[in-house]
Amino acid sequence: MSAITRRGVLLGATGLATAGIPARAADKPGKLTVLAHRVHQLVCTEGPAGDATKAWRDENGIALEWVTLDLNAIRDRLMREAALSHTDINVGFLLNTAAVPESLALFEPLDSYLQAKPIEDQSDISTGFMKGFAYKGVQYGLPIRQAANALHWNAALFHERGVEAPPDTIDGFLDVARKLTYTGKDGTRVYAFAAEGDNYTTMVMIARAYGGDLITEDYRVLADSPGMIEALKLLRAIYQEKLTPPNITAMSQNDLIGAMQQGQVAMEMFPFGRTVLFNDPKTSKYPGQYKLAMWPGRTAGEIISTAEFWGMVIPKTSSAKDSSWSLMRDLVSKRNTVIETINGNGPVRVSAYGDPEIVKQIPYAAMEAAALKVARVPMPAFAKAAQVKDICVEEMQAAMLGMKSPEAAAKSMAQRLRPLMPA
Amino acid sequence: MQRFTLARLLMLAPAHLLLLCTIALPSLYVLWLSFTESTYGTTAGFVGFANYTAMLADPYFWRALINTLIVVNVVVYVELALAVGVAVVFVQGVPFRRVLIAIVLMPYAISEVVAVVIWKFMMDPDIGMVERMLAAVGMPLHWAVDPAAGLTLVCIISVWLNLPFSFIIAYAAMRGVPQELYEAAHMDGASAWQSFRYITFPVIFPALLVALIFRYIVAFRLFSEVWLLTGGGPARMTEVLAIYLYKQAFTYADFGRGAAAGWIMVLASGLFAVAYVSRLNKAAFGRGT
Repeated sequence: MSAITRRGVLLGATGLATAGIPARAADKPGKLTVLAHRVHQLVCTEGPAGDATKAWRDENGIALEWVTLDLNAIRDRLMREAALSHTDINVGFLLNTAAVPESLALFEPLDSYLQAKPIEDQSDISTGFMKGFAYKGVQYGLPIRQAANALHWNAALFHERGVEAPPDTIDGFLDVARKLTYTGKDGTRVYAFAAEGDNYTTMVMIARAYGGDLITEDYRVLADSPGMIEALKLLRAIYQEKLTPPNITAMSQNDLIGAMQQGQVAMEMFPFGRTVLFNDPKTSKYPGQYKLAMWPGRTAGEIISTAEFWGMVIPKTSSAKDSSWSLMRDLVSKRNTVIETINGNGPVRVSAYGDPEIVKQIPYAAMEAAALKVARVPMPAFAKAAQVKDICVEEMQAAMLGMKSPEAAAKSMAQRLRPLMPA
Repeated sequence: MQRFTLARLLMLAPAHLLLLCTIALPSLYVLWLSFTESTYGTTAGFVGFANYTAMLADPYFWRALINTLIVVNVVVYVELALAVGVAVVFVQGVPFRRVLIAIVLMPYAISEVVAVVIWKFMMDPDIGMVERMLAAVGMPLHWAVDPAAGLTLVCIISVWLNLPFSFIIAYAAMRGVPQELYEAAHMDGASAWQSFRYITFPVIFPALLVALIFRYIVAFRLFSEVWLLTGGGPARMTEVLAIYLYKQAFTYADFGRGAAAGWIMVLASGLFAVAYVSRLNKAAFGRGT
């Protein structure tokens, strides 16, 4: 065994330093780190249409490391990383409600990239989605996913109870829900309906079905409108009559997905694309039985839908930004949009709904396109959006569990939200 | 006593430097942050005590503080009582002692996240084995919707997770009690309870005090159990101080308020710890700290 000499150490260190120079000069890293939700990773890399990132990885010789977290945690982590003097996160997924001026300032302006290496047919991407990640005319994010919500229902459970389809008006919802809450032949307790108990989206959707709203685009608070009170009354009835799982307020998104897949819940509110997961024969007890319907409004045929959308951003303090941009523009190419859509993503390109492959493989494409025409975000973006979400969830839970009357909860919600609106 | 020469001080310097860099400087930075208004993408601006006054006027802060005090006191005292009880059993002799000690210590090796997920599964009202058994005997724990039940389950999980720490301290202390004292007590006709009350307990008390103070401070930072189980709900009724701090700092991105909450936590836990130790010490030895 040879002894370690000072000269050897110096030579080795010099060699290592020299070896690092070309890689740095070319700004081409061995890997890029992407911070996203597990669903984002799945629709980009797995599913019936395959891996949308493979061609890019092979061509560039860059690996992708996906760091996946839950919804709120993505925003927390991304902002914290972006506020550091240097971050290892190269590309982050940002929800539209978090794309406020204070946050966007932490991310790389994309206009120069868009000019130097434009994305394929930018006019094909909805202007509203692009504007959601722009401030004062500067583009900070590239939209990749819209999540328009629909009602997913288990046809096998409906058939078992002799119910043909979900209600076509909001007033008929409770009757159907009562029929669909029962104990199955195998002893499984089936609940008619479940939605995220720690989120406000379903509450807003129901309020809109009753003609109400939470906050308008021009920041008017309508949380105490008759429509919202009706929504809280319906949610309260659903909970009090035990038509939803008793631990609904503590169920995570994954808990809800699991309960739906195992036939413990007959109807759930989720983005359209989630139907791929529900019908997955590997994880679902009822593959092929999950259908989609629009959330019912006051009249039959009325379309009620909320939608949120995600964009990709590059933290200002990250490295390898050219490679990050290259990945982002590849992920939103027309071809990859088709792959991601078949894998369960909500496409941001208008042309996707006319693509023959998608029309052939995605039976709900026309329905989703119709929903997107009327869908609105549950709440516009502004600095205090996170506080508003917490207040809404708190008042909604208080009304559901009987801690407050729906009227009192709605009044309290409105009073607490108004001071938080932007001037 | 040996004098601190320059050489000795230099040799101690790395350790002091480490403490300065990892504890003192971040603490001072957070203290400065607590006097500012600061969020992502903006420059921090000095606001004096505004964050502290706003927090003290916030009913959610007081609810979180009260919840924390309830949970901490229940957890620490139940845990110590159980630890002493289990240690007594082990000291008196049990078959397969080493195996049983390993079993008792096992929860300490489990990550908090995994532990809470396991408990959450066991306590699921529809498919949870434990919750269904409780429901079968008419005692379901509606932990997801009843704040008191939610905090009760938090206490149970926290005690289960940390019992090994208190147990090992109590057990080690009991093993150190001189046997002659028990022999003398036995010859004087002392009962088992009297032996424990007048021999074991006074001897192990200093060790228990150390366990108590450590557990008190650590329990004050309770976060994972509540966050993963109830998320502070329903309707923010089970929030504890660490969750209040997390929300202010990272969900609402109000770093000034989050920093103020952090310092209040440090001061409150320190204050309560000093008061408790002083009182217990006085009661046991007739002297203050």
